[in-house]
Amino acid sequence: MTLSHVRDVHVARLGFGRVLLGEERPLPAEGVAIPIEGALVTVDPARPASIPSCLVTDPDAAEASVRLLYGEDAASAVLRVWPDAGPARTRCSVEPDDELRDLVRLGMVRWCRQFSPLPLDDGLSLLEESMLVGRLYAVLEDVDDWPGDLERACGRVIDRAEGDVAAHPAAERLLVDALDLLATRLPITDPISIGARERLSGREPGDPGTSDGRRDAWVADLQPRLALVAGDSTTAGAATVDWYDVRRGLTSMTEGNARWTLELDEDAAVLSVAVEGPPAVRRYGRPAAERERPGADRLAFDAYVPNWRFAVLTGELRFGEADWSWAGSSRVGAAQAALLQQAVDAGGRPSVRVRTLELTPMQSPAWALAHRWTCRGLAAARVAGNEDDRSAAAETWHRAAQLWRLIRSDAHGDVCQQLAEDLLAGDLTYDLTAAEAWLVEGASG
Amino acid sequence: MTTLKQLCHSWLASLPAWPECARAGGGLTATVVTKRLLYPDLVARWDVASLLTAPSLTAPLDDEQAAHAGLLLQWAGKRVERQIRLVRGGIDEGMAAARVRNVEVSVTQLADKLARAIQSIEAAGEPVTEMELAAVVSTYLSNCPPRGRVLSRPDFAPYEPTFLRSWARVGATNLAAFSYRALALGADDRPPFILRGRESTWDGLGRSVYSRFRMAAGDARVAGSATEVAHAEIERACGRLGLRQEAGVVALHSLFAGFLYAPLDSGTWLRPTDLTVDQTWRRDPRPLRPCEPTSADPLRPRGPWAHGDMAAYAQACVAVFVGREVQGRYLRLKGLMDDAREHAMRRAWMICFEHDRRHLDITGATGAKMVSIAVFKGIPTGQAHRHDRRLVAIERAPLPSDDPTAEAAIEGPSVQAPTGRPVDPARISASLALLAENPDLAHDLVYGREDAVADYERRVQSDGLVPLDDLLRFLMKDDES
Repeated sequence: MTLSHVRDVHVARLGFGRVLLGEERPLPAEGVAIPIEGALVTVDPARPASIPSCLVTDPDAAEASVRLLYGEDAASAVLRVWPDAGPARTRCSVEPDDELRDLVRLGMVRWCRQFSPLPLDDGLSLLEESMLVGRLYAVLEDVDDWPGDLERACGRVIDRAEGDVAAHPAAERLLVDALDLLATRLPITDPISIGARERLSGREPGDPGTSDGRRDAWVADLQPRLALVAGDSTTAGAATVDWYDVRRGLTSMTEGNARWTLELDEDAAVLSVAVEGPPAVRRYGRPAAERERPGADRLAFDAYVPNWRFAVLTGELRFGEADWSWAGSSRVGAAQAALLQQAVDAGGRPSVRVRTLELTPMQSPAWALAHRWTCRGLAAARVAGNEDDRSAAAETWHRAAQLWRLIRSDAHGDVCQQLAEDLLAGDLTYDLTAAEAWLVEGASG
Repeated sequence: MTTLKQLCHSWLASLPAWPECARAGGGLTATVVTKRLLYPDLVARWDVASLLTAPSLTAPLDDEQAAHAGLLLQWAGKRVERQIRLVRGGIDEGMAAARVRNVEVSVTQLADKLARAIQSIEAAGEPVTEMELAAVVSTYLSNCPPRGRVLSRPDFAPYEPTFLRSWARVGATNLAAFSYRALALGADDRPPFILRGRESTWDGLGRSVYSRFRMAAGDARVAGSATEVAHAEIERACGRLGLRQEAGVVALHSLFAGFLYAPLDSGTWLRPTDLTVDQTWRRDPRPLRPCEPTSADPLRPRGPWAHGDMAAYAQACVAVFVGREVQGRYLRLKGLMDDAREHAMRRAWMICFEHDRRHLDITGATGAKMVSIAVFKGIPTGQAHRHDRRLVAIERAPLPSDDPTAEAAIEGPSVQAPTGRPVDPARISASLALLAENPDLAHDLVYGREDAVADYERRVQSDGLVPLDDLLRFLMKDDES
């Protein structure tokens, strides 16, 4: 579902030169913040059909961007509300046009790149992101070299293609749009523009068709897996790699993807940890899913026990291609073994955190769990093609809602609940990114 | 419901001439034709036919409007086909001419110019001729700037000796007197001349000279040839805090002082309602100058090079951010205000830099706006840049300020380390073993006992333990639960 109708939105002065256009809501799947000239737009990835909120910090600088994205009425409303002498609140109508739709789509692509647990082709995602950045160059802030980025992203996707793989309509359309942008928005004599025109010759934009191809398999993969965690004992168990601790592409993104065992002696203890490697990804233009060795050699793990404030031990993980997983163990002496033994005797068990070698603050595991389930629900809902898929995605959101409420974040819980209901009622649909379309439809595309 | 724009686009796609004229990479798009040719025509005819105002391009049409628009488009069919063929021909000829003249113009600009010219000429009632269009293209190209002001990296490289000489002459002295690090603007190093990789706003003064030049050369409001812009940017990079205007130095010091004095941990906060500072400084059209705050209140920020009233404004702004915004409260609770300050300072520097290169005075009005942008936008976007979008989720639902549990109710995780710096697991292991063997030491470190802290710090040096700050921030649970 994309933005399509005229909306009536609030505009409010917040003080210190700030004006808020639209509504700020709880965002359990996380908002995607996109800086534009003079303002900050926050896209709600779960509801791409809603008008993204816009916090204007410099009304003069933002005027042109707001006019382009939200329309004339919104731009004048911001300027009306901004001065201290003006009204503190007003309303305006927003008629979503291509630019705002592109901005929301940019938010969606960025969300998918960061949070979707699906094995998406990052080359296609990057191409789509770069293309949208190029289209929105006039309003976005902090864009350094969009033509260079886009040219490289096009080159990577084109160069990877093997002759006998059928082109996918969504991916082909994206490539043509990207090359068209380079060919038409840069100076005619720019080498990148000339190169793009050469690459365009003979390439036709694809017809955006759809197919239910492989949807079922992927959605099934996202369904709840609590059994993995429920089966833990005190000396063996599972943990889930936090998506903030380890960037995507290094490990799998499934629940319970880290397994550990603890061997306890009187004067020593050994904690062994194994973490699933990254899943195979089907790259656009390639005939089959391929595994790609992670772009790091080492990870680390820490173990915590309930009765001790600090990590009780730490260790290193190394990647093994043979079983496509990370593995490592840490042997500690009597004092640390005693701490572990005390915890086990009291019916507790170690909690294991997997991270990169960089030290980063540890986040609340309960928050991380609720967030992951929200994201799983959204990723499932985005690719849901039939009633069963939608039920599975809604179930995931129900679970997320419970988890949010457990940590007293009722507002997030309510949002997840409502998303589940809207999805089941057919009021919530999503346009797929090119990478998602290729993933779920590529087999028949 | 269909909008007029969608209707126009699908109607264009149905024209026999469309696929050939609107080929990918050719610059002629449905958006240009709709905006420049179809819509003005529809507006002009709509009123006559129905005595009603034409809907906007993006408003949904009711059935009657859609039928009416369809009828008007049908009437326009042959004329529009002729027009788009003319634009196509004009673009192709214009592209060839632009290559010969080597001017800075894109296909999109050319298409837009031609479509506007046709609309303008034909609005007078006469069909445009190819010769008229050729004249339009020729005049337009004559007014296009020559290509080449934005030099490539290799073309910019010959300026490096000039930069190095200038740095030796004044840059190093300025850096020694105006430390970047002291204002959270980056490391106290000479800026790189050219960086091969990507750069961003968040590099602060670590941004290369080439990057600064690129921004200036691409800025239509900066005058001068490539050489002039290059020399100006070299001189600016060697200036105090990478700026030429003293007012920029004052603005940055003032914002920083605001952060230093913002009561971040406890105590009475300077709330906006308490903002009884004389506001006339914001209306002063002169460039900012360092001065003491108008108020004698000792809690007002002050400092060398700071404008006291602007610093007080910044102090209040930061207090509001960390007191009322979910993100600000969270950063404060997690002890991450140093990161926040860094994001704000770097954003503020970019604003100063923009004013400086455009020769715009940095006045009180600029300073007030800069503070607001740096705090309320710079910090969230800085966090987003560091791939920690959790903190960007904006929920400004007001929490009752007198509710003692309000802060505890803020849900959310901690943030990624600001700079990913690998730490040898062996050092961590040694630290954790030491603590397990000395529970009293662990306890005392948690509660910050001075002798325990000193003891541990000694061992960091002698035994290669992990620094205490890392231990407490990254390897300790929030509480016993």
